[in-house]
Amino acid sequence: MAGPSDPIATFRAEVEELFEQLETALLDLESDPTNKDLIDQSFRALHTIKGSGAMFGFDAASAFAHHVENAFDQVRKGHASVSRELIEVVLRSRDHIRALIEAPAEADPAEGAALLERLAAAMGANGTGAAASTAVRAVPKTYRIHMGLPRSALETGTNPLLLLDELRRLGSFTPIAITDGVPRLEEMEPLGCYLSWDCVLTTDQPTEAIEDVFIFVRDDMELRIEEIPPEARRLGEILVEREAISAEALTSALKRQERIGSLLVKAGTVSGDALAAALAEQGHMREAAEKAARRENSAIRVPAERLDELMDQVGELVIAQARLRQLADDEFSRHGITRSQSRKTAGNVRLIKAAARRRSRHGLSSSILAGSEERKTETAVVREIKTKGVDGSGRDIRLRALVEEIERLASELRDTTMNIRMVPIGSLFGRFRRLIRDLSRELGKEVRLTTSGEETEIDKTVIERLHDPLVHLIRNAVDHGIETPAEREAAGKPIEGHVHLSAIHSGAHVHISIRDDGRGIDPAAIRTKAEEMGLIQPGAEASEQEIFQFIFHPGFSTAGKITNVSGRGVGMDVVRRAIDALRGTIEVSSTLGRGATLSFKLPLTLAIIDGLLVRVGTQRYVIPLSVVDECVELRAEGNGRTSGIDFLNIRGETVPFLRLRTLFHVDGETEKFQKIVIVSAGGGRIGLVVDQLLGNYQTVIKSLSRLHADVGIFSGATILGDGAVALILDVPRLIDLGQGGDGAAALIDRGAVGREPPPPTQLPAGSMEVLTLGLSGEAFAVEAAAVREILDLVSVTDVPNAPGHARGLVNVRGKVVPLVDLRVRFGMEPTTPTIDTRVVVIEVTIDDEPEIVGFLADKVHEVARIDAAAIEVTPRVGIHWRSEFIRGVGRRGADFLFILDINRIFVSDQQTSIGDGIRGGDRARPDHAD
Amino acid sequence: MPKAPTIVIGFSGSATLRQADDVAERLKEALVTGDRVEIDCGGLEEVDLSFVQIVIAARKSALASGKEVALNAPAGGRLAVVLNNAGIGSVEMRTFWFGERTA
Repeated sequence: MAGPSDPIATFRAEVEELFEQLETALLDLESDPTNKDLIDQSFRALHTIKGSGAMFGFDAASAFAHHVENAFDQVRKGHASVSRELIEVVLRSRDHIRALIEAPAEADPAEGAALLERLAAAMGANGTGAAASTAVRAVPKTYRIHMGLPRSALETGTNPLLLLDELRRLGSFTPIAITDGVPRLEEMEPLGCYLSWDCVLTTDQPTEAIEDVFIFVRDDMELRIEEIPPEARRLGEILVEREAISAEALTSALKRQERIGSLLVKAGTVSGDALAAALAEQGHMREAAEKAARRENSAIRVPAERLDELMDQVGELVIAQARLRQLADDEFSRHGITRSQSRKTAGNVRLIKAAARRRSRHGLSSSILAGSEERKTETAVVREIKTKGVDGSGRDIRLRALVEEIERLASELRDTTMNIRMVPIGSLFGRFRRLIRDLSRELGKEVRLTTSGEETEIDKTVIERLHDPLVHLIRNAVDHGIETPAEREAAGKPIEGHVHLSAIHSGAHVHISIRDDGRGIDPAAIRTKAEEMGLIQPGAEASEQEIFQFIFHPGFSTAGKITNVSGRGVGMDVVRRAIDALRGTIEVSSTLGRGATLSFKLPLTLAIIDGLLVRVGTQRYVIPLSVVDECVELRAEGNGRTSGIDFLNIRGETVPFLRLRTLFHVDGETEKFQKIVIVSAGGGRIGLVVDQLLGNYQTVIKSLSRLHADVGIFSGATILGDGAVALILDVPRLIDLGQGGDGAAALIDRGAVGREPPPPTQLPAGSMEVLTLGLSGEAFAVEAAAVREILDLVSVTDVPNAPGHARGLVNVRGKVVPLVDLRVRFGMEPTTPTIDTRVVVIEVTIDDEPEIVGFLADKVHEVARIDAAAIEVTPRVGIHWRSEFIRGVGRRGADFLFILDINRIFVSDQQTSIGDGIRGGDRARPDHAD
Repeated sequence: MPKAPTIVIGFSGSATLRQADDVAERLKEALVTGDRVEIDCGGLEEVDLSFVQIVIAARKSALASGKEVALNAPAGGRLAVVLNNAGIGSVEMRTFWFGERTA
C-alpha cells in the first residue's frame, strides 16, 4: 500500500509538478520561442525528472528524459532554436515519460523510439548539431551562496561535505561553516544537522550549475545564491549588502550629505538620485526575495489522505460536540432552567422532545432506537440530579459556558480545517492550455485561452471533480462554439477564437464560467429538437433559460455531424450529473452569433452541508438547503391519496409532488398537517411531502457504503446530535423521479441490475481463529481477523428501498456503517432484540474494496481456534437456510459450528427497485405506526 | 568543594552518524562528572560532520556551565580533512580544533 511515507508515492506526486512546469514552459515557449528563462525552465524540469527518476528506479523514464534533456541543452546553449515541431515532440515526449513513470509496463517502446527519431529530426533541422559545440567560455562571476539544510538531512542520507565538494569542483571556492546553530549537547539530537554554510564561489559556470548541485535537496533546504557584482562598489553598498548597516541608516547618512551629493550631481560626477533609487530598488528586490523565500519555507507538503483523516476527525468532533450540547440542554430543560435559552437551543429541545415522543410510542423500540448504553448514562444522570437536586445555578452556568466554549472551538477548528483543504483553482485551469492547443490543431481552428480568478480557492475534492465536466465543456466550446477561421472571417470576427475561463467567489459559493466567442447556441434549434423528442409541447411557453436547460437532457444533441471531439449527443447530461453531485447549478446564456457562456455555481466545500431536517414517519432526513425554495402546508383537500403523481398548485404554477411516506414505504396513518418542501435543481421543481419540519441543520456529510450505492435516492448520510444516523436526500434524483422523466426510469432500472456474488472464499490451511456467535439457536462463526469490534445495539436508521437484509445504518464511532440482519439474509424469522443482541462490526471485501459493515447477532460467545482439518465442506442438504453463505461446518464439542462466508453475505443478490410498493416479507422489522 | 578531575575521552575507529548517539552520550556523561573534558581523537580513522557537530555542542555546554572541553592535541588525519573541507574557519573554531593562535 502506498502509505504517506512511501518514497515512490512522494516521488510520483513531486514529479507530477515537474511535468506541469515543463508543460507550462513549453506552451509559453510556443508563443515566445527565444525566451531564455522558459528554455532554462524546461531544461531544469527535464534534468530533475531525469535525475530523480533514476534515483527512484525509473530507469526507462530517466534514460528517455536524458535524450530530451540533451536536446534542450543544445537549445539552451544556443546551438539549436525552438521550433513548433520541437515543442510538439517534447510535449509528446513529456507524455511518454509520464507514462513510463505511471505505468512502466504499459508504455509502448515503439512510441518512444519514434519520438526519439522525430526529436533527432527536429534538432537536425534547425540545430547546428553537437559537433559545432565549442562553448564560448563565460566570464567568471563571483557568487555568495548560503546553504542551510533541514534538521533531518544527515539522517535522510544527505552528506553536506559532498555538496561542498561539488561546489568546489565548479571553481574557486571558499566555504565558511556557521556553527551558531549548533545547540548545547543536552539539547541536541546527535543525528540532526545544525551547521549551515556561507560560501563564496567564483566560477565561469551559469547559476544553474550551482543550483544543479542542490537538485535533490532543493525543496527542503534554504538556498540563496547571489551574484556579487564585480565592479568596485561604494563602501555604503557593501556595508548594506553585508547587512552591517541598514539601508535606512545609509539613506539618512546620504541625506545628510545631500548638499555635497547635489554638488557632485551638478558637477556631473555622481548622481545621488541614482544611488538612492538603486538603494530603494535593491531594498525592494531583497524584500521581495525574502518574502518569496519565507513563503516557500513555510509551506509543507501533506498527503491528501491525511487531510481527509483530519477532516473526518474534526467532523466527528463537531458531532460529538453537538451531542454534548444536546445532552446539557436536555438536562437543563428537564429541570426548568432553560427559560432564557436561545432559539437555537429551543430548537434542539424540540428535537429531543420529538425523539422522546417517538421512543415512548415504540413498544419494543426503546432499546433499538436509543443505545442502551447511552440511556443508562442518561438515566443515571437524571437519578443523580433528582436525588441531589441541581446544586445551585453556578455549576450549571459553568457547564453551559464550557459547552459554549467547546462549541466555539469546534466550529473554529472546523473552519480552519476546511481552509487547509482549499486550493487555488489555477492549478486546474492551467491543465486546459494543452487541451485547447491540441484541440485547435486537430480541428484546424485558432483558439486562444484566457483565464481569470486563478487564485480563487475551492475545496480540493471539488476541484478534482470539476476536471471532467470542464474538459467536456471546453471540447464543446472549441468544437461546436468556435467557428472555422473562414467562417469567422466571413462573419467579420477576428480569426482567432477566444475561450475564457473564470472563477470568482461569492459568499459560500464559487462561480465558474466558461465563455466562448463562437456561434452561440440557437434556442430555436434546441426547441425544435426538444419538441421532436417530446420534451416540450409545441407552442408551450418556455423561457430561453428553460429552453437552454434541455441541452442537459440525456441523448440531446443538435449537432449534425459527429466529430472526433464531441457531438455524439452524450456528455452534457453527464456534465449536469457531475455538477449536481457537487450540489451545484448550471446556467446557460448565449447570444446567437456572438458566443455562449456556461456558468456553474458551486458550494465551496463538499464536506459540510446546510440542511433542512425533516421527519417522515419515525425517521429524520436531511434536505440540502441550497435546493429548498419554500415550504408550504399540504391542504387537507390535497391530502387524499390519488393514483400516479400528485400535483400542487402554487401561485398558478403546477408542481408535481412526491409523498415521501409512500416512497419510503411508511405504514400507518398520515399526519394531520403534512408539509411540502418545494425543491428545485437542474431546471426541475417538485414538492416533497414530509410529516414535520424540524429546522435547519449544518452537518458533516458521510458517504454511504457500496452496500447502499444502488439505493439512489440518498446522496449520503450524517450523524445527528443524538448520535442517530440521518439520510441526506438526493434531490436531483427525486426530481427526476417526481417528473417521471428518463432519469427515473434509469434509476429504477439501475436497482434491477443483479450483482454476481463473488466466488466462495477458500478455507485456510492449518487452523483459524474464529468468533463464535448465536443466531436463531444455531452456532455460527466468523473469522476473528475480520472482526473490528462488538457493540451493544445502538440506534438503527432504516434505509428505505435498500435490499431487505441491509436495511439499517448505525453510527460506529462517527462512521456511518451499514447494518445487516443475518436472520433476514438466511430467511429466518425476524426477532425482537434482547439484552444479548450485539452489533458485530467486520471488514469485508465488496467489489475488491474493503468495506466496514455491521451485522446483528443474537448473542456473541467467544473467540476460539478451530482446526481446518475438522472443517467439512457445507452439505447442500440438511440445512434449512441458504448454504451458499457458509464456508464450511466445524465442530465445537457436540455442536455444529457454521463458518460464515462474509464476503458473499454482504453482496446484494436481490433485485431492488423504487416504487414497487411495500415489501412485507423481507423487512428487517415491521414499521411502526405513528 | 574540591575541583572535579579532568576526564579524558578517547575516540578511536569510527565516529560517524552510526556512532553519533554513543559519542554524544559519552561526552554528556563526562561533562556531568568532570569539570574539564579532554578529547583524544588520535585513534580516529573514520569521521564525519556529526562528530564535529557533537564536539562543538559539547563545547557550548561546557562554556555555559563554566566547564571546559578541549582537544588533547591539534586535529590531524581524517578529522583535519573533514574540518577543512567543511570550512570550519572562524578564528575561534580554528583555535579550538587546531590550537592555532593569532599573535
